[in-house]
Amino acid sequence: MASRTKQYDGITEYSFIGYPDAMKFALAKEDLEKKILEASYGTFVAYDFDEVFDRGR
Amino acid sequence: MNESGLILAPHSAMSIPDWSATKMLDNDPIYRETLHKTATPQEAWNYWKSKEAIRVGGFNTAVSARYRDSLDYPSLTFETDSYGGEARNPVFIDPKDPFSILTTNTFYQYSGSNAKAVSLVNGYRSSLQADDYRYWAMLNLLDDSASMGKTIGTAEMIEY
Repeated sequence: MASRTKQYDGITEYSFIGYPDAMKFALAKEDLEKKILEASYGTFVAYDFDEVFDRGR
Repeated sequence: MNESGLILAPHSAMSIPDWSATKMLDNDPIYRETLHKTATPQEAWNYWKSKEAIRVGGFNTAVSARYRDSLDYPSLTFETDSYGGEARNPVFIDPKDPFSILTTNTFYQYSGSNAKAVSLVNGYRSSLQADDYRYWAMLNLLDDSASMGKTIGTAEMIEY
């Protein structure tokens, strides 16, 4: 939360939702331009496991 | 989260660290190793029990995995501190539903292997207390949804 404070300088907050049965997860990121300091109020983007895990390929 | 679908979500909890410990291990490497080596909440807990890591202090971990093909509870809450811990299952406390577990910043099962470390900071509750507001908020949402016959999906989670 609140990347503008010194304590969180250089740190970006993400919010995570896991969909283990679907082998997917979704991430949202804080957006300072839109003044969204809590990532969970940002836009969630879903990723498939095949996109992020090598899985022996 | 790992590619088996195992998820570990950290929540700080109240317990005084073991300041005399010399080999204290932060939770990040414990999580990383657990995700590397296990695939279910039960495997993860057995792995934690097999390691004699001294953790940095009070820490609840919401642990979940795939539920459709799960042979055991699909979620557990690891209630741990520097001195030990216990794995709480979904029917231990409300909502007492095998497929729903709530995790906040207090212990409900683990009262402390070193009881003083927990009791001095009021880290353990033997039952839900009136001021456990985060727990009540989630429990009420679950109850309201159940009474209306609704499921809680991604949109509801985000909106809430």
